[in-house]
Amino acid sequence: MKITAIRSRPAGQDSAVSLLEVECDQGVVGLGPCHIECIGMAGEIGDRVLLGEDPRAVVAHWSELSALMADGRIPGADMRAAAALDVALWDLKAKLEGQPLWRSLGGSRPRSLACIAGVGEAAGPDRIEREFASLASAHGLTAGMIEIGRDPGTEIARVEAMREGLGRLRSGAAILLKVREPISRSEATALIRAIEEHQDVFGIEVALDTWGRDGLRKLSEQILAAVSASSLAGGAQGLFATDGHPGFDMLTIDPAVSGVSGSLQIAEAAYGYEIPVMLAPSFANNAIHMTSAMPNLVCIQIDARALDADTDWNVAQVEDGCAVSGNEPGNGLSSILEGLDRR
Amino acid sequence: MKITAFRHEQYLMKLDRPIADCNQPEGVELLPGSILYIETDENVTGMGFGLGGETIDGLFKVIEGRHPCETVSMWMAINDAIHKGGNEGAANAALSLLDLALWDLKAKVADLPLWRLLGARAGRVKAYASGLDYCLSDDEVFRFYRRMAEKGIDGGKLKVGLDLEADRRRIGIMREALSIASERPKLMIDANEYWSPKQAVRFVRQLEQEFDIAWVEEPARRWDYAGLRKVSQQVDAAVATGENLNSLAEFYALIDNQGVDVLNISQFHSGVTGCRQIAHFALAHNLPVSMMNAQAELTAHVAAALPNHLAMEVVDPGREHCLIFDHRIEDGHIVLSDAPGLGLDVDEDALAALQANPPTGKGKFPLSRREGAGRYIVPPRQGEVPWERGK
Repeated sequence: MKITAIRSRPAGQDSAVSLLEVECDQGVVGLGPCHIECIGMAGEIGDRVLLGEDPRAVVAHWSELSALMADGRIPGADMRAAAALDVALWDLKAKLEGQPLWRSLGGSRPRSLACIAGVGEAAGPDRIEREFASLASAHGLTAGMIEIGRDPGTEIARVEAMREGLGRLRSGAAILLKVREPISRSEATALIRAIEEHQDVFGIEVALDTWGRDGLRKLSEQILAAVSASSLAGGAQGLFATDGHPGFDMLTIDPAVSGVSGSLQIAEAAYGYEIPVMLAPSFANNAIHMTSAMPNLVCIQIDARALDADTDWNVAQVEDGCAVSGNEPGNGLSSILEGLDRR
Repeated sequence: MKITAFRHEQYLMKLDRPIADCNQPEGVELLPGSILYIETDENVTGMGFGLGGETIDGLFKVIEGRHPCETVSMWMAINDAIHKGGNEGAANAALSLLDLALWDLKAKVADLPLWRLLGARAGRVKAYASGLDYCLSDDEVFRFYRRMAEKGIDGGKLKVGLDLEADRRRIGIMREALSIASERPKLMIDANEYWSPKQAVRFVRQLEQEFDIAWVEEPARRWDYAGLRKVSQQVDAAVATGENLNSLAEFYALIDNQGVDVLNISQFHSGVTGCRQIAHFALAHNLPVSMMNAQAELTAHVAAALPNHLAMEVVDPGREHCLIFDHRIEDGHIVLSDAPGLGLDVDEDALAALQANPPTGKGKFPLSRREGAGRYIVPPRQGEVPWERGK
């Protein structure tokens, strides 16, 4: 069995994303979402590494793709290109097995805590409360994330509004925050402490390169909330090599950068330290398929826009606060594409 | 499709040759074996092979009725079920056996060899020879490693520990035997936790005056992370360890305290799922893993799909009397078949015969710990080993 073609097609209404198609000689096609910025690179490295190869050798292919991205052979290497190919390969593999990807990965049908993200970016308290209340009512959401700015007074009110919106139906909702603006660690510490005087915050997500490992570790020591490092490299290689236990509390894995292989590697590496992980939002929430194969998963972040009734591209429904997926073979993107093509 | 029943068979086998380390130099010939069959409602059966499994009866209800392909979820459920007592001892043996059988089953459902299901490019794994040879004479050591070298294997691991002069001589014999496969065969030694860290440093440094030792295995106690790190820092050889840990959780302190350079992993580290977890944790620390020996080299399937795997141990003591398989060793590699699953089957008649008439022989695995371990060396007593002791 071998890969015979790699091509791309638009993903429709989301103009920032194209779909990589990896086809094999059995006539089966795997789909992987790829940001349009690196679609050309994905095609180039796909042709270089994958054409003629057995598509089922996903672990070997990820090793080769991620090494290619890391060793300087590809100018301007972007891990999102490798990740998109990896997602397509796993989709293809699962289809060849006749299984939904979640089962191919060894999981059970996903039902994972959903954390709604992308709500009311830079919006004021009224809109935040309204939107979270609507989502909580429609989907039973119990966890949400908002991006925070710099001003304690403003952010305390916004987080309060989020709590009000989520808490309408049930108490104990989990509040997650994400550092948005360039801000010093001392300023962020003061801000979060100020918020924590009023709200119980579950976690705060910070890009790893914002203050480095030491900075995130120190932040963790000075606040109550868990600190989750995001914007990690593609896979697990060397993730903990320099400092051992990172000292922060969670990892946020981005499937757009880590694909399926890299995401699973990172999750299992973190599991070695009993560090829980979250999955960042993914195109059409296709990362839902990985959730039940990660023993240390806290939640999957669901982009609020994907829950819009007008959105075609969504493979995960949110019911009673949990993200659930269907049973279609592969990662579910093909089913959506077929439906759109038929229309 | 769902899991419907299981069958657990245990037996005793007599190895074709005895095996030993410095803890029990006279060696043992008898090895217990377990085979777990997991049955489904669609006539596909998964099989796991290993040790123990007496507690499977109580754990089976965790997976009964579940889809057989949901291996990781089932691993999580079983791991949760054994939480209070811990993933160790009999519970660990059961989890490991269950997980191995489930992955065999999952691969058979997909009609794929397990190595392909796990995402490997090929069913081919570099091998190194390991005699478990403390009870073999010098001639027998040479013949074993020469036989391995004739298959292209260019690395060997010798049991050491009680007699530095004899160890030095026998490493030389191993090197000579392997020399037909490589001008610079890879030389490893294994002290099976008999030494203290400083004994390990003293002995290994002396051996390193003559040999380029690639790794020293278990130079100190499995949990003595500080001691293992000390050895790693004070000798040139890598420190390999981890064989006697149970799961990923137990590798936390070992790795975080830099007590290991090469992780020894096996099916007994909570099965296929556990092996992969450990490998990925190691990968995050830029550490390689090395698969331990297994009946019919069955865990080569797992090794083939690990991104940071070095080489797998091949002992070949003759312990597959009731197993049917068709992998081979060629050009220094274990070459797996394309048969679905682990590629193993059971000769039920042979199994029944072993169960009806258990063999007798010298000593039974596991090996016990020798007097003086970690404190002082008790040299081989007269007649305890078939080789010449050092002056």
